[in-house]
Amino acid sequence: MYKKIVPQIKLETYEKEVFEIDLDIAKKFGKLVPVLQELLNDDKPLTIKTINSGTLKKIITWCTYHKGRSPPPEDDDNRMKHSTEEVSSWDDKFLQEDGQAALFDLISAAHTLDIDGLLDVACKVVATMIKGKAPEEIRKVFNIKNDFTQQEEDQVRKENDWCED
Amino acid sequence: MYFSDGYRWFPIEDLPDVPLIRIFFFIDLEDLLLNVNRVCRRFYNLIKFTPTLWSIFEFYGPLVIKEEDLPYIFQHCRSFRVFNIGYSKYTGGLPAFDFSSVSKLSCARNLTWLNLCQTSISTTCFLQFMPNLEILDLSTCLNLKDCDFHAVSLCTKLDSLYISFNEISPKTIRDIVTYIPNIQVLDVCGIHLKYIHVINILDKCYKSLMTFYLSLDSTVHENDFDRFMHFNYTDLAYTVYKPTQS
Repeated sequence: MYKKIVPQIKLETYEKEVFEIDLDIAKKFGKLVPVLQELLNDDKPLTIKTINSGTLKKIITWCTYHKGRSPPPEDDDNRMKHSTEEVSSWDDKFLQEDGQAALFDLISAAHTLDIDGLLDVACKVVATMIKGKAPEEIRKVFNIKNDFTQQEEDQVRKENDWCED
Repeated sequence: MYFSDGYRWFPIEDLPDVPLIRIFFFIDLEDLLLNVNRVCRRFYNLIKFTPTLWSIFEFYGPLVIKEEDLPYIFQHCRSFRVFNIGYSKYTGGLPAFDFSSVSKLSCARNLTWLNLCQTSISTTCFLQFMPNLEILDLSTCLNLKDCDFHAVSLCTKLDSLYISFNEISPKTIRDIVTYIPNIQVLDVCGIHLKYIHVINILDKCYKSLMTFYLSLDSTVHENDFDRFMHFNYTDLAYTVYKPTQS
């Protein structure tokens, strides 16, 4: 019996923990793929200090789940739709189960590793949290400080006067 | 700051611009301008200065546009893919959307969908700069004259054209569709057509046309017209518009 050898790459996180990732999973890492392929035969891991272990674990889980699934064809019409409807219930649950901070951490990491599919779906989830809320509600949900002066606030309001009901 | 479970405290404000813009991309422009850009300075600046967020210029209610709003509205017109200001009122110093204001649309060369129905535009000169337009609605633009509609024939990629209830002659309609090889939807309601007009128009576009909205001249009997259509243009879906009797 032969043991199937799966090519792996090594990534080191902020906590100096080293993860071995199958190359076919790492292939979702967009622009990083050529870099990772060069590191294939290297024993030294690639260190990405901005990503922590918890987030990388989540990314590996997401990439493994979506391994066989090709993303829906992204034609111009799809991009124009601004639609947040097509997030699957698995993705929705998976992305929200650890709370907001984990979600933003994941978005930041997906951006660093250039995982387009994950970035897309995670941004859609956040967009859904923002949609249809008043400015004060958005500040409350995301704990954002209002840094406008009263004068600036009036100016913004005046600028968009034409699209008020 | 890291939590014991490996996650750190990560507020939305710490996200880089690119993913934040991507989040905004999935939110309608109306929501962005009325709510999201009032949250904080960073959101405001990202929305104001990111042209791609303005590609679908579409709002739920009719707008009331003042002359001084135009520079703001058109600041990212190069990115417009959809521009829908149908039913909007213009309250500028001039009685209509005049040449100087609407001609800013000439920069919107990527437009695929333009809706100016029931607006007071008085020119169509910008259409020559919109070769990629697929859907055009100029219904009830009462300041437009017959000659203004000739510019529509320059939009050769149109698949849907709505020019109902305008001062437009059947001959001009025929001339326009002659130059639009793949037109699928044509709405010319309110322009009273005789048999010869219908024949002339369909002669130019029957191959591609799938839906035809029209009004009939009082000399044409509707039952006869149905038989005529069934016999000559079997596959074509058409609707004859009848004004409701008051």
